[in-house]
Amino acid sequence: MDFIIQVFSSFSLLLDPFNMTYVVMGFLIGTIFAAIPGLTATLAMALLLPLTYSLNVETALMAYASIYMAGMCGGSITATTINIPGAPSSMMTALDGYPMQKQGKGAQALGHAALGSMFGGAVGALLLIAVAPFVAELSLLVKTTGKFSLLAFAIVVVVIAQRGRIPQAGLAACIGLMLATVGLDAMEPVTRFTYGYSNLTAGIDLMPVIIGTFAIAEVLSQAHSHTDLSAITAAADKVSYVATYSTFQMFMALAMGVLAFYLRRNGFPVITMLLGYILGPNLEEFLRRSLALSNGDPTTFFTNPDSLFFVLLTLVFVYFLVIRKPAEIPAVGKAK
Amino acid sequence: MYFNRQLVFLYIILAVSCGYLASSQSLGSPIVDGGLTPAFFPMLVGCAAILFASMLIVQKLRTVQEEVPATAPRTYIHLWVVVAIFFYVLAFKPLGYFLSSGLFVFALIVLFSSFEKLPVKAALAAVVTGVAYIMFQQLFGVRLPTLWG
Repeated sequence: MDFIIQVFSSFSLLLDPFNMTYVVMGFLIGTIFAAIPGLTATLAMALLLPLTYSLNVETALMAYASIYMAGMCGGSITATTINIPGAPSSMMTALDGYPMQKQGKGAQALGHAALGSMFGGAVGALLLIAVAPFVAELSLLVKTTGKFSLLAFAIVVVVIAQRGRIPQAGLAACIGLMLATVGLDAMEPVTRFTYGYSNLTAGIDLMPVIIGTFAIAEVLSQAHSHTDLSAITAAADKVSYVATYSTFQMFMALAMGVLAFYLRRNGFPVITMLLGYILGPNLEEFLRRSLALSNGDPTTFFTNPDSLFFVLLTLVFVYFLVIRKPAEIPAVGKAK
Repeated sequence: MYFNRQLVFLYIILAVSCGYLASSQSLGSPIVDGGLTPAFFPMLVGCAAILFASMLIVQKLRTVQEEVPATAPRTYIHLWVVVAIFFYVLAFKPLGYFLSSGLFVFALIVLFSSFEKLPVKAALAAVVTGVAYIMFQQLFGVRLPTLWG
């Protein structure tokens, strides 16, 4: 009950004009980015990430939720008007929206898309609010060995979900994990892979990885067709500078952008690399802690119920996604 | 046959993975007194990367002969963009925000369009640089380097 009262009292935060301004700005930015083909709400979020450092948590979260939700809906504008989905989530909107536009019902189509998006988003948010307390309690049951198995499960699933290119996904995840190991070790005072370069002692910062992977790689991929990308590139590199006031991070963003561009061009899923980079430090730490707690006994991953649960879950996913392959779904673009 | 563009990329990744594994071995033994050392995880990741890269190289070598060569002309704009960003980052502090960003945006506009109407493009670059300055310095309070301190 307390939880529900807290949830409803949080609506009062919206009465603050400062918060409301950021929510409205977030919706505008998300809509504009999603409506331009090639630019996505994820890119907007990546570009604006360091600017949230000066905001309090509530305002930043509200601004981000606004960008994300507007981004999910905004792609339907170009999907309906010119049959080019502004975001991948708007692909299905183009199937009905564009024919409606040709019949002179474009405004109606946009209204339906916005209403559907609002309804889906609201139901999803309510479900999340309803189950969040139970999920939080459940998460306390997962101990060190369970946390390792959960992270390993996440990486395995992200890799095997890339049907038809599992080796590429595996290699991309390894590259992410390699990037995560650069810098000071989490448990012992040892530096790794810095090659005497002091800027790398603290590791590779998340900011240049995200800016490089999303913004710079995107610019390089679309270098031929868009003139509006010059401003985006300049802004993207300045955002890396904002995070630390260091040109080293700008170089790092460039390096990550070039890496992500070539990975994409050669059919590697860069999201898998990013997940490897993000999950890597915890994966290593929980692996080492688990084995330290069990005196080096690897059976600890099968004797602890929380860990065993995730090991079995991994096997279930491997069975259904790799061994017993699901039927191919016809490509959306080929549908008449 | 052995120097298809995708294969070259895979060879580079394989070489980097081998270098990574060799560097991780210099961190010492992976297991000491039954406990894992900072070398263990990188060795594991390095071995996995070599395995995946080798699998992909073998897979590619088997299919490379069947592939039809691409007919689309090659463009190198993305490489020029990388060069432009590199020099932009180099010049950012010594030249200050306005000069470096102005030149960089101008260079990118020219790269993405054509080598004509240069005064219009220069004016556009100046406007973009000015708007970005207002956004970062005035709106978000980010201190950008300038020639006047």
